[in-house]
This record gives sequence, C-alpha cells and structure tokens, in this order.
Amino acid sequence: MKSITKLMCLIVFSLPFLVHAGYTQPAPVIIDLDNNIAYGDMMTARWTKGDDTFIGCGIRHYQGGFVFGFCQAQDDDGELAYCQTQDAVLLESMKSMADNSFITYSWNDDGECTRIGFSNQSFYINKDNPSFANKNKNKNP
Amino acid sequence: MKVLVCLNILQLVFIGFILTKLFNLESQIVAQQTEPSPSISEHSHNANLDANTLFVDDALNEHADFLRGVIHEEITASLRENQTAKLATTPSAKPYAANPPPEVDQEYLSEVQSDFDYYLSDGQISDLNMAIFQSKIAKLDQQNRKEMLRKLVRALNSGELEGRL
Repeated sequence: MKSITKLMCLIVFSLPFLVHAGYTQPAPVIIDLDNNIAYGDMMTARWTKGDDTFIGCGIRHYQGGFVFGFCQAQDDDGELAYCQTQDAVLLESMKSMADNSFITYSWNDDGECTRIGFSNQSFYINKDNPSFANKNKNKNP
Repeated sequence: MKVLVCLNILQLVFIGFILTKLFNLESQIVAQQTEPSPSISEHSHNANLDANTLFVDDALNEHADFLRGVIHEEITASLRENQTAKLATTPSAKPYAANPPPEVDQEYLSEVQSDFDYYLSDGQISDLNMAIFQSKIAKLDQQNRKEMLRKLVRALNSGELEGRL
C-alpha cells in the first residue's frame, strides 16, 4: 500500500516537469541588408525585450480584384526590411502562416519580395510568454 | 496545354457534327410532314382519311419530339463538357489577376504621387494614412500601382519613410 502511495506521489509531483517538457528553439528577428534576407519567428519577436521588434506578413484585397501581399520586419538593432508582392505563388504561400510561424523572406532592390517561407513548429512556441500562460490559465480554471 | 487545345478542337468538331445532324433531322422531319412516306400513304388509301391523318400527325410528332429530346440532351452535355474544359484551361493564377486596368487618369495619378511626396517630406506615415494611401494605389492602373508600391517599399526600406505596411 505504501509503495503504491509513493508511486502516486512521484507521478503527481513529476507532472509539472512533464508540462514544461519539449524542445524549444527561439529564432530572434535577423535582418541581413547585404543579402536582402530577413527571418525570425513571430513568438520570439513578440516577446523580445526590444519594444519595436517585429516580423510578419499580410495581404490586402481590394474591390475590383487587386491583391498585394507584403512582409515586414524590424530587428532589435532597429534595422527594417519591407517587401511587397503581387506574385500569385508568393501570395498563395501566405496562407500557411500561423501564430507560431518562423518567417523568412528576401527582396530585390525595388522592394519586391522574391522569396517567402513559413515554418510552423512547436519549438517556436515560447512556453514562458504571457499569452501562452493566459491560454493555459483559461483552459484550466 | 496542347492536349487541352486538341480536346477543345475535338469538342468543337463534335458540336459541329451534332448541329449538322440536327439540321439534317429537322429538314427530314419537315420533308416527312410535307410529303408522307409511302408506307403511311398506303395506309391512308385503305382507311378513313380523317383518322389516318391524325395517326400520321401523332406518329410524326412523337418521332420529332423523341429526336428533339435526344439532340437537346446531346448538345447540353457537349456544351457542358466544353465549358468544363475551358475552365480547366484557366491558369491557376487567375484568382489573383486584377481586372483589366482602367485607362490612366493622369489627374488621379498626380494626386497619388503628391500624397506620396507629402508623406515622404513628412518622413512618416501613420497606419491610417497608410491604409488610405494603399486604397488610392489600388485604384490606379496596373502599371502605375506596381510602380507606386515599389516607390513606397523602397522609401520604407531606405528609411526615408517611417511606417508600417
């Protein structure tokens, strides 16, 4: 009986460690102006210490059929990188963006996007960020 | 692409063939209505004239209705196939293609350009003004809106203009 109680206690007390398990790989926003490449994950950008740091992509639709997409980022050093596109393939790729997306893109001298990539991975979800904590709090009142 | 074009041509030929058949059948029906066939006329000689005329009319009408029904079905099916093939040949990029560009309105173009110059001289553009400016760009013709978007993004990248897209 005692051994069963000990086992139960061990399982219960080890639960917090299990909750925090999982590989993490934050990708801070990096902007390489020599090669016109920007990348980083949205979670890390959002919860970084720099107030102005961000990364993201978006699409604008207008009546009449005009559509354009764009990506923009600012790193911790204040470097900025913008690009816009009307390319159907690149616009289509933007549908795969999510909250935990790692985003990478390139642009030419005219500011047109030449490459856009997304990667949605569990290791980009930062367990310590307030939104993650709030979500868990709401789920388990 | 070549296969689709060949299919289209084949379908058009098929439609042409059906139409030719239709016209032939229509003319045959008209001919039959005006000149009763010998077998029918034989019957008419041996029977009551009124009753026989009714019989011939009914038979011809039934025959014509049946043929019309068959032809209608064939043409509908063929047209549907042709339409499906045409839709299949439409490039996948079409959903993103803008409407045919309107004629270049120089007055409007210079208005958008002067807006841009104003923001550039100010060195910044608010989120609201950015949205308004983008909406104005959207109303330009394809070539000019492409050029204006390039200018906007180049200005943002160079730091001449501060703002968010």
